[in-house]
Amino acid sequence: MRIYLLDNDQASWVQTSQMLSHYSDVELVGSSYESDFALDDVLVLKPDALFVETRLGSLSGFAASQRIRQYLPDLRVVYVTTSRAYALQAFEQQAFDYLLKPLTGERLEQTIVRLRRVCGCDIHTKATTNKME
Amino acid sequence: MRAMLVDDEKPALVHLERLIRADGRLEVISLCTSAREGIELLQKEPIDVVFLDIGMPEMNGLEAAEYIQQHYPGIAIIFVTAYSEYAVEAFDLQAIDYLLKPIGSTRLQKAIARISVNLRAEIEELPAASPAAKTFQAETPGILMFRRLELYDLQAKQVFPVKWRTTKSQELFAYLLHQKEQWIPRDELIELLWTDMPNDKAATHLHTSVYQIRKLLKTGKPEMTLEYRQESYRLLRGNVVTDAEYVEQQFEQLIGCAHEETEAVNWILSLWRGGYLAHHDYTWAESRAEKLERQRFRLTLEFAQVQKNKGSVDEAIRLLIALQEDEPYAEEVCRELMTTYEAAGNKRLARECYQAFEQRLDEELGTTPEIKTVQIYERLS
Repeated sequence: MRIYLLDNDQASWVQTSQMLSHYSDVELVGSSYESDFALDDVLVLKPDALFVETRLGSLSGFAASQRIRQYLPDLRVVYVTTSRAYALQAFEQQAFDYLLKPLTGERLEQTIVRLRRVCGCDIHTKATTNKME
Repeated sequence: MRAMLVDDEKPALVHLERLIRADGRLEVISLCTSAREGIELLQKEPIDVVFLDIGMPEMNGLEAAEYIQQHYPGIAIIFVTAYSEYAVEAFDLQAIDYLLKPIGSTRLQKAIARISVNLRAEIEELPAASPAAKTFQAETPGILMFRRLELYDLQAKQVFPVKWRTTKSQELFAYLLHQKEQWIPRDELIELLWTDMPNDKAATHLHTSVYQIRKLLKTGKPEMTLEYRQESYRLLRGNVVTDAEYVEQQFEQLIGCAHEETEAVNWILSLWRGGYLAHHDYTWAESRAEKLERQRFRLTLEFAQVQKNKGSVDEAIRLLIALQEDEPYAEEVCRELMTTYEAAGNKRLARECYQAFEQRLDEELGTTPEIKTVQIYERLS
């Protein structure tokens, strides 16, 4: 499945992308520190899921994903965040999942397994199947 | 879809029930005033969605959700609560939605719409579910393991041909299916499939087979994934059902109550295409194959009696003859067949059935029928 990562904290950006790279069927199709870039990227790349921090500085991750969803209403939004504050709104928004930092492998696995289930047919990773072995 | 509502405050339950009924998409099966009551009911009632309050004495809603998640992963959970601070935990528990009290009808309608998306294909895929048996839903398996391993295309309603490049790839796939969704160490797989090969060569073969299976799944069963972690493999099913597991699970429920569940029994027996993986002669499959055969034997015999007692003698005879083809030396089948012919008023066929059986035992096994069987024959003469 194809994932886009938006996080303005570099340390946690590195950590999340590293953890995602353990999955042979996950392709990180793009990432950025800034929501403005992300908006453009995501519209072009059309990932299966957007992983996003809620705290992004000027524009909150929540607002950013709301805006992106106006264009891509079916985009699955997964919050990966230090803040619990947006969880209720995330339900209202019908976000796909909400994970607290520090991210654990086990919790991430749960998200990936669920994503796999819903993405099922439209996973188009390119020859990543053997990366793990 | 069948809903259960759990809240320790009666007025809240009644209010929610009224809203759900007004919406009309869900059937409210029960209102429970404690989580424990709700969980006990889940053992008896098939439920699709649980509306769960969080702040309850004794077992709270989060604990209840965790229990339900573990024991009934197919059930959708929607929290209904006055507290906003557990939304993160609700995500952890894979809840479908989180509703703040007081609930409005618009917000509730949104939540209900999400359930139907989540329970997705499961319900649509079911062919005519039996109206007689409430708990039974006829499922069409996507993977066939009786007789020979095959993938079944649910849309096209036919088996689709798989070209296995090696028999080992096929056996690996079968073995991972056989192990359900458990992690299997790679050494165990090598030991099982490539015993006599040097280790590095065996590893290459395993790798190639894994690659082939993944390619196959991608086109044939995209819901399924073959995972690799820490030197182990496992095959996740998504929501694909294998006939053997489905039948095995149904056997356990149906044996002993075939008379109440005739439609379910009919469907389940119709899925039996032959012994479990019988075509492939896998030694590791033998014990499960034997178990399934025993269960099928019991259920068919029981069901034939049900049919006979109901007066559907022809149906009983058809079942018994089919069973006898697979179990030619089974005394019980022969006896049942004789008494069924007798019930149909055809003593001649009953006697012939015995004579053929006696001859078969004599020629092929060098034995004679049991006293009990002989007695029935003598009574007929």
